[in-house]
Amino acid sequence: MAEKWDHYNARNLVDDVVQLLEQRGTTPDRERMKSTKREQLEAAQKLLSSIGIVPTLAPEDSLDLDGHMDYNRRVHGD
Amino acid sequence: MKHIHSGKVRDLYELDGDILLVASDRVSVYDVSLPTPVPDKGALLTQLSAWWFDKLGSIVPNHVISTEDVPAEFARRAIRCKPLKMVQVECIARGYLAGLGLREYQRDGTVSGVSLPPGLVEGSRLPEPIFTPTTKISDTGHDEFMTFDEVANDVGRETAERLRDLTIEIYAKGAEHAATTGIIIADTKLEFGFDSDGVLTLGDEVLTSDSSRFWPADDWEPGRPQHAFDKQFVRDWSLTTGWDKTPPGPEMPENIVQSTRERYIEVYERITGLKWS
Repeated sequence: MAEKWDHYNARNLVDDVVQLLEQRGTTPDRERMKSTKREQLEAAQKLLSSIGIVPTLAPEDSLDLDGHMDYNRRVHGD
Repeated sequence: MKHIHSGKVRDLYELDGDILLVASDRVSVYDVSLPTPVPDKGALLTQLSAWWFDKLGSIVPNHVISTEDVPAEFARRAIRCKPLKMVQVECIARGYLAGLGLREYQRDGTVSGVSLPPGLVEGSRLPEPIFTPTTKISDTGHDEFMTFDEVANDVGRETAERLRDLTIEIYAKGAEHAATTGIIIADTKLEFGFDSDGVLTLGDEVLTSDSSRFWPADDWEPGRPQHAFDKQFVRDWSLTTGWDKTPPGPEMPENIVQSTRERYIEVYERITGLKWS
């Protein structure tokens, strides 16, 4: 049987969770958030994967527009 | 047209709901973008990528809408694309042993968890192409190799298998064709995303010398570092300047610019069989 994995923009997850909590009467204090944006993104990706949703990103957040430098550094040894 | 993001080499715009991926003539080596552009580089890589997208269309859908319907200022160096929801796995296929893969092999006899036979050396051709995905974001903040099972944990086994099979098939087809033109494609990186119908789709650029490693076949010699087909002039020249490989990069002299441009043209003409004009 085919798997049913939907996908979701990981960058939106924290904002959407905050909004949902607020709608349910809980008020997260964004001023006291201790995690960085990167940490939030990593956590969002892990959460999405753990519940069977493929984490995705918009092209501008995902594509390497620097000439694939990460790839070149890693794979080519530049 | 709305500007979304600029990198060191390419720029991204939104145009009537589509994405415009624009390549510049900037060249980067050793992680640094050099101040001197190479004329037509952006157009050459864009047209090469477009040619590959067309050739590979029977294997996988791609994000290309048009290479013609773009603003005049970006003519020949832009692709109008469908916006995709990008999968957070860099899909890399390798047919040869080099770079960090070589280091892992020398240490563990594997690359990304894939066991390889003993006796391989730098630049060796692998018995068959292997899938060596990497994360885009990791706990350490750096891209890292992933095993296939880790990819499956992130995106589901079915999508992981599709990513692996497509990556290997695209690489194999590309490398086979390039080999007939005297160019070795040692490895390549592909990016996939889901389109608005949820279809897994090939995005970004494909089988260019920025997103792949091209070697001249007549110079291939396992057991030593191989020479890049196009950027080798720049790399070799930059090492003669005393530059410490940190920004800012040095200005390129005209003869190096022209030699590099000629190599990009040669790659385009050899692979596509078309005349660059």
